[in-house]
Amino acid sequence: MTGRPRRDPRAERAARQVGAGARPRFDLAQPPGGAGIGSSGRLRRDPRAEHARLLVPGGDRPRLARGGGAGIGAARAAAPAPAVRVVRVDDPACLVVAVPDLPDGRLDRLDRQVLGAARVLADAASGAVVLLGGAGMPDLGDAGPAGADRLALVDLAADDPDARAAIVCAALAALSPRHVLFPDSDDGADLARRVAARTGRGLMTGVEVLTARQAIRPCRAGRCEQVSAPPALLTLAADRVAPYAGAVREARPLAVDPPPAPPMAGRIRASAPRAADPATMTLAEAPFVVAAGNGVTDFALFRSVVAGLHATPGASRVVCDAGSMPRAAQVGASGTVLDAVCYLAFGIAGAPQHLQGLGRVEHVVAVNTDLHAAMVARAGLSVIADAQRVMPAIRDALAAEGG
Amino acid sequence: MATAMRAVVLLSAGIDPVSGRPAPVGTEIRAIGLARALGARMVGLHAGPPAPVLREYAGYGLADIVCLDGGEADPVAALAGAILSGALFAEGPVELVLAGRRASGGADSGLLPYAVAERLGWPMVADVAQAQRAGAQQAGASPDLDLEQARPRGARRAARVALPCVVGVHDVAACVPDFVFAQARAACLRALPCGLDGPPPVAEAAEERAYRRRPRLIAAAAQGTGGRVLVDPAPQDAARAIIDHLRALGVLPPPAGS
Repeated sequence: MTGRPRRDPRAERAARQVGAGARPRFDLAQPPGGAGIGSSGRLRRDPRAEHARLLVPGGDRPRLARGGGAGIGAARAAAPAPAVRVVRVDDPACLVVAVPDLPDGRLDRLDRQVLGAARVLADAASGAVVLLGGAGMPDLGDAGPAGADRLALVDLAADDPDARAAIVCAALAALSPRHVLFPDSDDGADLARRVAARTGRGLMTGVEVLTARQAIRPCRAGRCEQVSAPPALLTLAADRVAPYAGAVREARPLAVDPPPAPPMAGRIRASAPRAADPATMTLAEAPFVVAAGNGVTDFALFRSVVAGLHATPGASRVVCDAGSMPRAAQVGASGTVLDAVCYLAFGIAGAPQHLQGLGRVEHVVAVNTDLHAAMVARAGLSVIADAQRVMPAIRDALAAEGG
Repeated sequence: MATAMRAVVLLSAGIDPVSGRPAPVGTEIRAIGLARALGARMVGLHAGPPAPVLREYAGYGLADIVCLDGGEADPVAALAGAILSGALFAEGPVELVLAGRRASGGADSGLLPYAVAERLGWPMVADVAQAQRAGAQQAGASPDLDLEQARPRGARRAARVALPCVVGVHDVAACVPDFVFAQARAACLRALPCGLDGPPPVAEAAEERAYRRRPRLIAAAAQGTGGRVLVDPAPQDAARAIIDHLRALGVLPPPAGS
């Protein structure tokens, strides 16, 4: 005996028979052991399908995301099709609680990363991720796709951080989770430290690497790093852990016992945040920047357009060198690197040093006479026209709407 | 006439993140500036032996610095004990504790002001950019402090808190005092016994090693191939397209009429 499985051609042929009629019919294209199994019993690769799965959408040249380590591309390749299947965890071994910020009642980028990190910890211990949010949040429908198994909504006090921490502490005491994750944003870090001080448990802040076995954070002024097992309380730094990209989770509502009224409430009375005046905001933290380049000659007109758009004015190096705009408005490698949501460039071709200043800008709009400018290639919307003729049209259109 | 507020500034012996040399921490310098803007009498408080770098804080206008010898074993208990002991000011108890956002050179967790506030039983407000005493005060009621907290994207949030309280200062606070070299030379560092009895709490040992810089995730994929292109449109069409695009992105508020 050779030990190899012995083939039975008659049985294989009988297994391929389809339908029952007078004349036997056979589906010979189907492999004998079912889909994807070759005649030797091993899994059969389909190189063409793998190629199609690795293909990154968009772009005129085919580009393959070949599992380049831990990155966005790998996460995207791991989740090829939007599966309709909802993953349910009915009997979790432990709970991992994520307390996102939910600005405007929605999950933002860091919130999704926190849920992704909670997913990593929960999957390793076959536990469930609980999203702890405020009641009355309208848009938590994407909690399931973001990786939440349970949705615990409690009445968080918005205007008193002390009372909020007390409510979160009471909810955590009711849930008794293994890990609690907060975002390392201003509000999230504040809440995490209050909870840590109140419960007396250790807190690992600004975690940069998080796996199921270890968590790493910088310390000693960023010159050393602390390595330990994932702690009970931690805050996650921004853009360190990929958001969850797997199958949709259930996000089943979870009733938490209503926490008792906090005894120390009312010591701090905070009002709603007041947005800054875009005209005087520093360029580095402005959400919407409108910049002028060499294609702009009428700067009074430019300023009126910027004011009409409620934006912060910026400029290229050429314009600042000429003295038409202050040096503080310069965008680029030798000026300010922006962290804006949107950037509108009037008459800027986009030198490499200028494009460096657009590091984290998500949306770019370009108005330029040159179709082949680098700024046009970077922009989501490009208008190939003279900026000096487009600006008055924008000003008039905004004035007509306002009046 | 209201008497001057009695404030304590928590100081840490920091290091410079680039050179690794002893250096003052920026937010603690701003905390000194905030106390000066409030017109407060202030004392610097440091849990640990007198370190030469603490003289730098004196150059920013903090004339009196108290070091709690042996306090580094349990800084929360040592600082809270010193604040409550009444030994810092002859006129009365401490009304305000100011701290930086986080230390630079230690564990750097930013947890200490919260732990001190919890130990004292006082409210804590973090990320403060500006502060002033509340105007109208009823007789008998504890005076209030009007604070302005810095939020992301330049936003500000007003908060009112009753004294005594703990205040954490944000990096964007504009109140940076001038450095005077002669004051730094003339400063005297007072050493006090920390008054801790009993063994310090056992801290779990975490492994430490040299920091390794790791790449961040690239959040927003830059559109390399460009998006919609309008070639030589009429100016009115171009303006309409741009305004509609900005509205779709949510950066431009909808028109006033709708």
